[in-house]
Parts: sequence; C-alpha cells; structure tokens
Amino acid sequence: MPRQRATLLQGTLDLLILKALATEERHGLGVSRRIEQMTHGAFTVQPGSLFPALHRLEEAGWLSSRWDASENNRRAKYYALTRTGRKQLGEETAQWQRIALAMSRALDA
Amino acid sequence: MFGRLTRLWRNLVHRDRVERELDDEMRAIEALLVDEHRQAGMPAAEAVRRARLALAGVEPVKERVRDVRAGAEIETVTNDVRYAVRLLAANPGFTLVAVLSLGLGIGANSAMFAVANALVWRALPVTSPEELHLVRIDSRLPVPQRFSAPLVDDLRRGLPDPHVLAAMSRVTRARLRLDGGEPEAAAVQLVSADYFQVFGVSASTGRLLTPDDASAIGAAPVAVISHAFWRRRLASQPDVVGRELVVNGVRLTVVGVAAEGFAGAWLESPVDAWVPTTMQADLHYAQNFSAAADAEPDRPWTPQAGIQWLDVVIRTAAPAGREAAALNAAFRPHLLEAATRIEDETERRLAIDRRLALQPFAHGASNLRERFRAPMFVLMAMTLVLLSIACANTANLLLARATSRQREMAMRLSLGASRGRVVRQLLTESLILGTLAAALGLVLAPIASELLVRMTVGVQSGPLPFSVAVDWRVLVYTALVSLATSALFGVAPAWHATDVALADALRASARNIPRGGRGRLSRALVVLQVALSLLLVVAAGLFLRSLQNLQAAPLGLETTHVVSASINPVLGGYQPEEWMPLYERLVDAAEQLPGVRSASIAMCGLMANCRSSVGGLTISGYQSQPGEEVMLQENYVGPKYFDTVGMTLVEGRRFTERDRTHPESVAIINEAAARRYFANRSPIGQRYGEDRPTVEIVGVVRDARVNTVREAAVPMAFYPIEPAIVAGTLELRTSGDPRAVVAAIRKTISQTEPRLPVDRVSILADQADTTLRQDRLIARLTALLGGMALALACLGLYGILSYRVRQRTAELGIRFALGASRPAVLLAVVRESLGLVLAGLALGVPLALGASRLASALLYEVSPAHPWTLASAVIVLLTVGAVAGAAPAWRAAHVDPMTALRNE
Repeated sequence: MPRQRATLLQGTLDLLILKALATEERHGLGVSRRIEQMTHGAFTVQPGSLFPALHRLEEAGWLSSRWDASENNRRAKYYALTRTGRKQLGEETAQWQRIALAMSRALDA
Repeated sequence: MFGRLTRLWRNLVHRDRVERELDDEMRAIEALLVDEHRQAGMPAAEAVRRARLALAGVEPVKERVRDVRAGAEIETVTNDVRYAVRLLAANPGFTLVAVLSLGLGIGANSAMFAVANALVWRALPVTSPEELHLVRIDSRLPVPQRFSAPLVDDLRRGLPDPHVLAAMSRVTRARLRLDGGEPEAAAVQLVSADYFQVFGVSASTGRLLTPDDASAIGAAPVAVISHAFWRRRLASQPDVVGRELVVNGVRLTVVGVAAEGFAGAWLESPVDAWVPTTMQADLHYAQNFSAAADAEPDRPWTPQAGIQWLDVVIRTAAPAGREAAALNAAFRPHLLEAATRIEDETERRLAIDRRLALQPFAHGASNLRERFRAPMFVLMAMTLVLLSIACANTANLLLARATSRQREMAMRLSLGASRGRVVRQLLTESLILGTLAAALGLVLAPIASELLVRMTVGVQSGPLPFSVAVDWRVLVYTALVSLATSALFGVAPAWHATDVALADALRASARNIPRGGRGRLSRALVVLQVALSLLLVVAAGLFLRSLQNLQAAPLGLETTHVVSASINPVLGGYQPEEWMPLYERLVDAAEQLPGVRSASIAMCGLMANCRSSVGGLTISGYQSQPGEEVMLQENYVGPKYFDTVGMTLVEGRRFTERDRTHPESVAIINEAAARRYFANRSPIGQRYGEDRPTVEIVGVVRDARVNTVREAAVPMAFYPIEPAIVAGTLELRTSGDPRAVVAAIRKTISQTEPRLPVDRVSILADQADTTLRQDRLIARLTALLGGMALALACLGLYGILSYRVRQRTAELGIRFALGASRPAVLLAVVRESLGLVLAGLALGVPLALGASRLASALLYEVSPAHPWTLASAVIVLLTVGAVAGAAPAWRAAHVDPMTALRNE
C-alpha cells in the first residue's frame, strides 16, 4: 500500500518523540508505532534515526529509561518523559504552533 | 551540567556496560518486531527476515547511536590513536623509515629556523625593544656612519629629553687580567653614561654607569660586567662589586653586573665589560674610525670632533616624530660648518644634503645577519625541498600499505563505517607519524643549529656568541611544519585507501586488486622526488664548484710559505718612540731563525680583517666625477715586505733605506690603482695627496687579494712604515716547513720581547682559508642535503619498483613458462626505473635552472646554468635510477615459474 511520505523537518523528530511519550512510557518500537498512529501514517521513523534521537534526548536529560517486561513478556527498554522533558515539550509545542500559524498565514496571503 | 559529566564518565569508563545495554536494546527491539509480524500471521522465518530488514542492519544503527553519545569524540580519537599505534608498532621497518626521514627533514628545518630566529627575528632582551632606533646618516653618497663624541653631545642637547640618547663604541677584544692570573681576551665596549638607561637594562648586582662616571677624561676607572661573564669567570660570586679587573694594563673597579641575558647590542659579539667612553685613552682603546684632517688619534678621542667612532642609539616610540626633527636641527650647524671648507660647488651641495634618520634597532646589530641572510634563506629553502622529498617518500610508503589494506578498508566500510570515519582513522596514523618525526626533529634541531652557528662564526668550543635555543617560535614553527607535513603525506593515501569498489575488493584475491589511481599517483610522487632531488644535487654541485673556484683563485701572494704573527705593541705597553726599534729587533730576530728567508713588519696583516682606507684624495692628472670618492686602501710596510709576502713588482722600484728618512713622500701602488687613476699613462713619478699632491709614486706591484679570498683587489697604496704607525703583524717568508717556523717564532718573541702580546700565528694559506668559512659551510651543507635527497629518491624508486615486481610475479611466471628471456625482463624493469628518472629529470632540469638563478649572488665565478654541473647531476640521478632498479630487476628475472603459478 503506497503511502504519502513526508520528509521530517530538522527538529521535528525530537518534538514527535516527546509528544509520543507524553501520555505513557514506551519502548523504542512503541514510540515508532505511536508516531505513525499520531500522524496517520504520514511519518515513518526509521530505526537509524529513532535510536540515536532517543539516546540523545536521554543524554540531554529530557528522557529517562528503565528495563521492564513488555506486553507479551519480553524485556524491553522503556523511555519516559522527565520533568525537564515535559517542560521542553511545552516550549517546543508552543514554538511549533507559532511557526505553523505564521507559515499557514503566509501561504494563505 | 553535572548530569552530562556523569554520563560522560559512564560512557568513557564503563564503556562495556553501555555497549552491552545498547546491544540488549537492539536485540529486544528485533524480538518485538518478530512478535509483531508473527501476530500478523507470518511464518517464523519470514518474520525474522522482515524484522531484520526493517532494522536495516543493527550495526549501522548502533554506530549512529554511539556517535550522538556524550564523549563520542574523545572515544573515537582514543580508539583511533590506539589502533594506529598498534599498526605502526606492527610495521617497525615502515615506521622507522618514515619517522627517520621525516624527522631528519623536520629537524633540519627547525634548526635552520632556530638560527634564522636568533639572527633575524628575536629582539634584544630589553624593555620595549621596538622603541630603540639607531641614528643613521642619510646621504646620496656613501658616508661613514659614525659620530664623534662632541657631535653626540650636541645632538643630545638638542633633544627635548636628553636622556633618550646613548652612544657606544664597537665591541673590541682587550687584554684582561683577573687576580694577577694569565692574560686572557675579553670583549669590551665603551659606552656613554646613560647607555643602560636608554636600553632599559637594570643591574642584577651593584649599580650601572652614572653621569659622574663620564664627568672627565680618565675620571672613573670603573666597569659594569655582563651577567654571563660574571657567571663564567667569577663563578657568580656575590661580592663582585669592588673587585679589580686589569684591562689593557689599566686597573678598573667593577661597580655592578648588568641584568641576566643582556650582552650588548652586537649579536655575535657579546660584551664582557662596559667601560665609560671617557676611559678611551687610558685603555689604549682603538677601533676603526673616520678621521678629519685635524684628527689626532694618539690623543684622547672624546673631546675631538675630528674622530668619528661612536654609534648612536635613541629610544622613541615615534621614529619620525619630534626627536628626529630635533636631532636634525642639532646636526645642521655641523653640516654647514663642514661645508664651508669645501670649494667645489657640487661637492658642497652633496655634503650639506645629509639627514639623520632613525632605523629600527629592536634586534640590535649583527654583521653575521647581513652576511648570512641570503645563504640562510637559500639553505632554508633547500631544507624545505628535502622535507618535501621525505613527504613524497612517506606518502608512497603509505600508498603501498594502503593497497595491501584495501580489503580491510572494504570490510570496515561494508560493516557500516562511514568513509569519513575511516579517512579520519588513517589521518590519525599520519598525525602520529608526524608527531613522532617532530619529536625526533626537536631533539636534533638544537644540536644541528648549535653546530651550524659554530661553523659559521668559527667557534669550536666555549660559549656560543648568541643562543639558538628552542623557544616558542621554534616550537610553533616545528608544530606547523609537522602538521602540514602529515597532511601532505597523509591525505592522498587515505583517500585512495578508502576508494574501493566494495564488492570488487571483497571478491578480489590479493593479486588482482584494482590498480588505476594508486599506481599513477605513486609514480607521480617518485617523479616529483627525482625532480626535487635534482634541484638539491644541482645546488650542491654549484656551491661545491664555487668553493673550488675560490680555493683556486689566484691571490697574488705566496700562501704556503708565509707565516704571519699578529702582534700588539700598544697593549704590550711600548711607548711610541720605542716602536721603530722594536720593529727592527723583531725582524732581525725572525731572520735569525732557521728556515726563514726574510721578514717584514706591516700595519695590517693579510686576510686579517684589517682595512684602512683614505678618501678625498687629489691625484695629479686625474679628474674625479662629482660625488666620486677618490680613495685608496692603504698599508704601512717594512722594507722587505713585497718579497716576503710574494707580491711582484711590475714597474718602478721597491722601497729603499733612503725612503725611511722621508717616509711620507713615497708610495707604491697596486695595478688596480694604476688602472683606475692612471689609465693610459705611467703612474711612476706621479703625485697625489689628501690636500695637495705630496706623495710620489715610485712603484707598482701586481694586484693581490689582501682582504678576503673572495674580494678582488681594490686600488691600494703602500707606504714605508714610520714611527707613528702601530704594526699589527710580522710576516715571515720560510724556505722549509712553515709549521716549524710557526712554533719557533712564538717562542723567540716570548723570549726576546716578553712584554709583547702575540695573538695569532698562522700560515697564510690557513688564514686565507678562514675567509672561506661561509662558502665552505654552504657547500658542505648543500652536499649533505643533496646526499640525503638522493638516498630518499633511491629509496622511493626502489620501493615502487619492487612493489610492481611483486605485483607482477604471476604474470612474469607465465611469461617465463612461455619462454620469455630473463635478460629481457631484467631490462624491462631497469627501463621502467630509468623512465621514471627521465620523467623526473624533464621536470627537474627547468626547475633547477630557475631556482639556481636565485642563488647566483652566492656563487663565485659559476654561472647558475653551468652545463657540467647540470650534466653531472643528471648522470648521478640516472645512476641512482639504475642502482634502485637493480635489485627489483634481479628479483624479477629470477622469478620461478612454478612457485609463481602455484601461488595462483
């Protein structure tokens, strides 16, 4: 099934990951599936981009991680938002909305 | 911040745990994916396959995760370094050749730089050296650049602040006695009282000179000694103030020690003791000076406006500011006053048209700097060329190695390493090689530069006149050179090594690795090496030939059978009226010696850096051009001088006993003077003089090079020695072995004239040779550099040829099996070697011709395009090509077909 692919803008991936983890903690594959679901399949995140981003965000102190059993009893590494991560999500969301608004105004003008 | 540091710590120190965790995470994800596919109803095998496909290779993902982790950079670098060191240690032969050749190249460069640094770039160790300026006389005529003491006083009085101006004499050798010990030589400089204040030098012990020290002639027998002298001769004794130095027989009291590191402003003549200028007459101090007609050199110089002997230094931040204007305002009356005595209108205008200008003096003065500047830059250029050759050599070695590592590279690239990452790894290896070579270079540089300075100034042992130590400038230069070197020899091989068609290289056996670029590049490098080597060999040839020409130059003197002894009656304490009898006694005593045919006294020795000239002459029948300085070099000689030193009389007569009663009225000139001032007429019987023509020319001698071997004879006049002349040399003509006479004359003088200091006794040929010191140095150094270049070129050629032979072993085996003749194969390899050399020569010959033109000023009677030198250099390189090709050719010709084919 051919899918409309959108290119990820620089910085968008971080925001999407933070958003995907806003409701609950997830493992890497879960984050990937959640992003596909949130964007109705517009974005598919490749492992080669996802995992470096997860590790980078963790090193920045926005995510924390722990090992836990998955839904079908496999051990997996679960990521969750930290307090600074949640604050970052708020800031980046606000910023993104300002840009999106400005862009759509510009394109409508 | 803290969090980041703990993560850095975790990543770097507990790397194993971090790696394991990453591995676990990737495995877990793969398992989750498989589960997902299985739930969607896929067969197990297909589910695993799809999962792996989705992850697109676990290793690249892991590699990218590693790259974003804290400390990733450090980790990569340490890994690279560790890996590189292991590789270099595994190939000790390669590492040794690379580090040695590059280290020698870098060492040579750093040594040359250290000398250039000390000579040209390092400032005097004083406060704000950039404010120091030397006062020079700007004129359209060549004028003596020295000042009389009264003129210095007038200049000082004209300044807004008189305390910025100081005067100093040259640095001369004096006879020093310490604590009644044996007399020794010491470097003494006479300075004005404010010398140290103007230079901004403080005292490390005691005091410096004060205006009281210069209040009257002979008033203050005091001396300030240099810190180095204090340490060397007085063992840094703390009670040095008040001690006595006996300089030229005069007792001086040490009042202080100058700051450490300061040894005056003459780079190659470090001062041991500074004495007030007012002590000049008491010390019998003498140096070169320019004298006006009313000068009386036997009386104290400080009150005489007619004796110009001082250099003037001024401290000012603005060399074109009010100080310069004030100096010129004070100078002008002197010019106008001097001009009133000149009758000719043009001459007078030229005499007035002089201005004082300030010349930066931050680096002090140095004869060596002026003399050695051009050769130094030539040598620096040559060491850079040598380093380029070493670079090309190392690049070639690296290329050869890169080829044998191509499969490793292909493997690493296919396992997910990016090309940049692998190139970085290879460059790390180059940098480590460069660093090792730089370390070796820094060990060699101080040794080499000290040797270089010793050979240049002719000091075998004892302290160097100036330090050529490795300072921060030399360190920075070495670092830059080795960095540039590493980049030069490292980048191309690294790029080539990683340029592999993956599948090809993996599939290929060791034999048929794709060639293409690498072969071309390494051949180009060898051609470049040959071309640059030719450049150095040609340079060495030219300088050697130039030295040969100098050594064979006709001096117009008998060199092998003349012995000179330099004497100093003034320092011996002989009074002027004792001089003539002393001269007679010396000549008599010398002629009594067995093996001595004749002896003569003279004011100036030969090849002895003694030059006295008189200008402003009037010559009967000669019309001078406006601005032309009618001058003659002069010497005062004893009756048998010409026969003793081997100058031939070509016209007229020698001096006779009768001339001694009227010594000032006769002269013998040389051919150069006859040619210049008496063209188309006989000089015999003609007259000349300073104001009126009073001196009659009675003879003409053949031209002789009396100053240096290099300097052609200048117009010259000889006068009979007279009572007022200080003889500086005793010349002896020997019939037997001159060496025996050298020892005998010293002994005789010390017995008959124990007071008379005898400085140097030498055979004229040896003395002449010392004036070729610089030429010999350059010839030897260039020969050394040329030899090293040849060795490297030979190594480079050998390397590429044996590599090519190894590569073609199988092919050769088949050829032999099919009946190819061994001599034909041998010839083919030698032909390839010569082909590379010929290509290098085609590039090198125009290069050498162009470059040697730049050095033509240093050559003596050798054209830069000297055909024989060029031809010999070409033959040398062709020989090198044949030699380098011989071993690989022999190996190629003795390939055993069966062994070669079995390897297939």
